[in-house]
Amino acid sequence: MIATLFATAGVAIAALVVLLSVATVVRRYRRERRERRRATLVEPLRQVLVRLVTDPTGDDPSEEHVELLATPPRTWRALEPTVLDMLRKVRGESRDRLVALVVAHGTVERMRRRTRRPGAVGRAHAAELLGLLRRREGRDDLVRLLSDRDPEVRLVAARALGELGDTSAAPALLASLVTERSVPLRVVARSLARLGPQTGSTLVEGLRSPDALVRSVCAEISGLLGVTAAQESLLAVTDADPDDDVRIRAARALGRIGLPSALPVLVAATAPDRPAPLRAVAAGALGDLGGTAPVQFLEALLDDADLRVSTNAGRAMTRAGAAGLLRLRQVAASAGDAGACAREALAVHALSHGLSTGPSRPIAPPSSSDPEATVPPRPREPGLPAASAQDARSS
Amino acid sequence: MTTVLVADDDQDIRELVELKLSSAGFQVLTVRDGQAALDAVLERRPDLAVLDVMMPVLSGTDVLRALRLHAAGDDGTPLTKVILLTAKAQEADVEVGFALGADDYVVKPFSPRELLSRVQAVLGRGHG
Repeated sequence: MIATLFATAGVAIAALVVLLSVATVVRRYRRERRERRRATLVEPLRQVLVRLVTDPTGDDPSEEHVELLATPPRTWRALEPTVLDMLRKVRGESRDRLVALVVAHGTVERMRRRTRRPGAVGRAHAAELLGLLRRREGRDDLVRLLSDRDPEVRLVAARALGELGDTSAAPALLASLVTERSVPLRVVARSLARLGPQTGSTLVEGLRSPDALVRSVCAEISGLLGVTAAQESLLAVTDADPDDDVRIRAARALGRIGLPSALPVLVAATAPDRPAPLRAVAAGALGDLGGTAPVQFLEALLDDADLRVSTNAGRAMTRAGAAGLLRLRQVAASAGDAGACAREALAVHALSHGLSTGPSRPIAPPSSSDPEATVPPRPREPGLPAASAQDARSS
Repeated sequence: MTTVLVADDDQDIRELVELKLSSAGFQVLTVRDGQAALDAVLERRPDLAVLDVMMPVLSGTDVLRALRLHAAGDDGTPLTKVILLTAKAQEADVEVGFALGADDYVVKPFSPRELLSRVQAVLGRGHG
C-alpha cells in the first residue's frame, strides 16, 4: 500500500516536472519568436532612426521624421523600445528629434494613462519614461506617483521628477520625505540637486519646516547648489536649530556657499559648549570660507581636546589661503598638540597636492615664553613650493 | 581620405557615429571591442580613433595605453589621435584619460554634432 502511494507520488512529480519543462521551453520559444519578429519588423526602421538622429541633411522636418511618423501603430509599438533606448544615448538636437517623434506618436499620453494602471511594474515603467522624455505634461502624474502604494514606483517617480527638471515639483519632492508613504532620502536629495539652484525658494521654505528631516535635506542641498538666498536661514539654523544633524548640515552648507557673513556664526558653532560633531564641521566650514579672517579662530582650535575638531581645524587652515598656510607652518615648528596637528595638516596637504613633504627632521620647540614671537617661519622644505605660489592655488 | 576608427560595443553608438562622420566625408572603420580596435589601429593606421572606455576584451584606456607605448612615429609623436567616448564623466576619469594621452574626451550621452566638431578640431582641419 505504502509502496503504491510512493510510486503514484513519484509518477505525479515526474509528470509535473515534465509539464513545467515543456511549459518553460514553449514560453522561451514563443518569446524568442516574438523577439525575432520584432527585430525583423524593426531593423529597416532602425536605419531610418539612425539617420534621423544624425541628421545628415539638416532638413526640418526631415524625410526620416516623416517616414517614422507614418509607421502604423503596431510597427511603432515594436520600434518604440529601440527609440527610447537610443534616447538614453544622445543629447542635444539628436535627442530633441527623437523626443519630437515620440511625442507625435502619442507616447507621452499613453505613458500618462499607464501611470494609472493596476500593475506596479507598468506604472514604474511609465514614470521612468516620462522622466526620460522630460515633458512637463507628465509632471502632475509623477507628483501623484510620489504617494503610490508601491515603494518602487514612488522611488522611480522621484527620480523621474529630478530628470524632468521642473522646479515646481520641488515642494512635492520635499513633502514626499515625511508622508506615510515616503521616498528614500537619498533619492529625493539627488532629484532636488538635479533641479538646480532655481529650487532656492523651496529650500529656504524647507529650512523652516517643522520636520527635522526636511530641514536637514534643505540645508544639505542648499550647500551643494550654492544657494546664496538660503544664507540667512542657514545662519539661523546653524545657531539655534533643536536638531544637531540639521545644525551640522547647515554649518557645512555655509562653508560651501562661502559668504564671509557666515564667519561669526561658524566661529560660535566651534565654541566648547557646542556638540563636538558640530564644532568639527564648523571648523572645516571656516576653512572653506577662505581668506585671512578665519585663521586666528582655527589656530585656537589646533590644540582642542577633541581630535575631530583639532584635525579639521588644521586641515581647514590649509584651505584658508596664504595666511592659513603660513600660520600653520609657524605653528608646526612648535611643540605640543597644536604643533603636531599643524604638521599633520601640512603633510596631508602636501600629499593631496602631490608634493613631497621632504625629509623628516626634528623641529626645535620654542625657546621663549612667546612662541609666536620667537619661532621663525618654518624653512621651506625641498619640493614644497614657495608659500606664495602654493597659497595662491589654495585660495 | 581621412580615416577614423570607431570602437564601441554598442551597435547604436557605432552606427550613429559612423553615419555622422561618413556624411561629413570621413572614411569610417568600426569595431566592437578593444582588442579589435588595437589590431585595427596597428594594421590600418587610422588618423583618429574614437574609443569607448568600457569595452569587452580591452578597455578604451587599455587600448590608448598600448597605442601610446607602441604606435609612435620616428619622432615619437603618436600616429593615431584618440578621442575617448565614455559614460564615465567624473573629473578623475577625464584626468586619467588625458594623462594617458587622449586628445579629447566626449561624455555619453553625447551629441553626434558635437562629436563631429571635436573630431574635426582634433584632426586640425575642417572636413567635408
